Amino acid sequence: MTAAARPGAARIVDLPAGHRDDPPGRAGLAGLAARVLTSPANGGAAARAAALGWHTRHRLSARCSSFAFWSSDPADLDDILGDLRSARLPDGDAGLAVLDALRARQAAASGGRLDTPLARVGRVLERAAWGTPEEDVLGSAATLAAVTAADLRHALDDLTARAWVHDEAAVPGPPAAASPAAAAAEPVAGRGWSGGLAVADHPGSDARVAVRLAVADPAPDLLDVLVEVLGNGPDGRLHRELRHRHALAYGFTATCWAEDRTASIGATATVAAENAAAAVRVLATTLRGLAGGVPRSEWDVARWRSRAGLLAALDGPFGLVDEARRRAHGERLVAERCAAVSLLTDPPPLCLAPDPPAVAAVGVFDPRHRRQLADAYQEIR
Amino acid sequence: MTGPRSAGIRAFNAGGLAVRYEVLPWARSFAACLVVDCGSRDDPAGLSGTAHLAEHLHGLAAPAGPGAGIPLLAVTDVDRTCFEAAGDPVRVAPLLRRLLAIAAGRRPPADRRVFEGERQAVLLETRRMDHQPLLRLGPLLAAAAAAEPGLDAVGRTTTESVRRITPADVDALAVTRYVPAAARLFLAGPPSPVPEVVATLGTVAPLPADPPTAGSRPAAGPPLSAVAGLDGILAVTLVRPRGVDSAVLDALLADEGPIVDAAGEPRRRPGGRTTIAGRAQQVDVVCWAPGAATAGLGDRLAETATGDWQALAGDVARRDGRRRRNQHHLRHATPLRRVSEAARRAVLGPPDDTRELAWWRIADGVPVRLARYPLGPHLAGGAGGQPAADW
Repeated sequence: MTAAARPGAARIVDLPAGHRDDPPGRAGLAGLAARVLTSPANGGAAARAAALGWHTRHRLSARCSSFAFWSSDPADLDDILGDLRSARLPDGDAGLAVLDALRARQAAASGGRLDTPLARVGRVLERAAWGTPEEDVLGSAATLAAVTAADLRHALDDLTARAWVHDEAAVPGPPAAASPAAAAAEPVAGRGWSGGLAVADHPGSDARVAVRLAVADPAPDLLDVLVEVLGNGPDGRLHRELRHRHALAYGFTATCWAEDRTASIGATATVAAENAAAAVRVLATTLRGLAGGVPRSEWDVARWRSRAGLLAALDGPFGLVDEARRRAHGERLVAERCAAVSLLTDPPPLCLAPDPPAVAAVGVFDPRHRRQLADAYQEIR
Repeated sequence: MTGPRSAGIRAFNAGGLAVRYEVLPWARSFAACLVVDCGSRDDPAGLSGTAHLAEHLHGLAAPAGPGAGIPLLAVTDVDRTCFEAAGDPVRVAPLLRRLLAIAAGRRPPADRRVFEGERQAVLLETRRMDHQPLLRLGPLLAAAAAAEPGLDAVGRTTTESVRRITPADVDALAVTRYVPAAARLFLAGPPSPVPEVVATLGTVAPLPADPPTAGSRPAAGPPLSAVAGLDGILAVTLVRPRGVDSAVLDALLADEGPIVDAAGEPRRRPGGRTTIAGRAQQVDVVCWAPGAATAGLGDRLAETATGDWQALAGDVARRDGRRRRNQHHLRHATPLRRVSEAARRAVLGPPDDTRELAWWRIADGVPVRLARYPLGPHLAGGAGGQPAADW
């Protein structure tokens, strides 16, 4: 290897079933299967990863369970699918004991109970945006109890037999539109934007609030750059408004979505619980201010930040293999987005949809905080 | 020292500031990390949090100034403050100018509103330590275990001390500690920005005949007093020189190492780990919650420390060789990780040669030392560590 080659290598194995493929009454099966494959005690790729210090990642989506592996030695990953297939739920009572432990861990995590505050507010914001209960991704104690060891063994044999392996060094082929990941962004049947306020308890010294606005037909890549106008660090609009104008927040994030035929843009803030309502007002005002246009100098810096983030993602351990996976599934490449942002020299207008905003708040709130949040929502809707 | 897959390092001096650029032909992004010789140990007595607030204020840019809008991630540690960012290699000068200004202690004027906004942010961070006393356990134990003063400096910060800080306090600290000659700037990225880097660094005024140097430190405040909510915790500490790499010392407190020895008994795994690094010493802390499976831990510690610890830990280190290699490569997998790692490893002062294990129980909020085992001068063969080469 020369210095021109990046360090290490990565592979992704996609199993073609996600949480929406769980059989009726056995919600959580895909999650349990993933736990078998990611527990070093069950052997297989997870055991090798733990022993050799590989970097790993697992993502469970609606129609796919995706396992990523990185090693400094590319030869380690030559038979990664074989490694994954060799993971086994032990036979007999030992297997039942393992299954019980996996069920207990998954039940503890279901409903986002082990989420970080940022992940939790994101899930609650989904509920506020669509007006539907949070998807039952990991199942409940009852549905997990209905998953038997035989179910799990069958699922593992079936799914690993139909797995896809993505290799960052592979020669690009034609896209495969029917692949499992291509279905990952499928709309939820019958779901449409609702908007509303959702508040949830979450322990900790800080509260998190989030506001999300629906956007009407945004120009391609516009929202990506506007996220950078809002800023995830010092000097973006969120920093100026939340910290300096209102002295409210420690941290904040901005993000955008393009799903279920409704694009949207949103922001979160980490605040003291007593400041949650005030932060909701500031976030809503700041987001709506984007429709007033962005000065050219601010736009140019935001484009630089957007490109910097995309390039840094490509340099990450899974950057190139993620790109190979996107190519295989006919998804838009990060490299293409990066090039498009370069060409987006004039800020296109942003048109916000007339729908009510989605607002989420998680933290330890007393009744007064909750009333203040409800009042703030009525003001901004 | 270069990371894996490096085409080498170019060194520059920008008005006294040492700059290193690691050239990575495979990289798509550009990254920079500035290390400033100002940490929480430099907080004046009674004003813990001043260095942290200085970090927040230096991380800002004038809205219309050069480098505005470039997001910096900054962290204040015991003996240093680091400002880092990833960027687009097509245009690196604004980011560099921003970091050069910080290295020299230049920051945009902060009116009362900006100052109070940043103070509020520091207060929110500090409240987390009040809410989770475990966040103060590492500093508490490090200060008890090591001779270097100030290892508990981060943990000393309280909401009261942050509320007492004035803009003048921040100015006074910055003028003595934000000095280019005492700072380091680490860069990594593809070869293409090198000419822009050279040109930008060339605009920095040369070092004056009588260059400013880091000023003396203000008198330290009282050490961290008792912390409620930690009683019954057991801990092992390892005091070692900062900036000295040693696979054997790393293996001493590993889960599979001779002291924790959790390979065949997962219930022995510790509840938490941290490392508190100062200027000359660092302290690895491993702890167990009350009621954890700690039977025999004290005996294993004594047997290891008074026996051939280098051989015992050396075996573990050798078995763990491939994992360590992967972890090393992962820490160098991106330009941003490279500069972060370089900043973490940068040696700002001579290391202290002490190597010592100790065994603690927290009672009435205070660490009570149950046993202490100096490991003595390390033997030949590098078992006790090799000085980490600076970039």
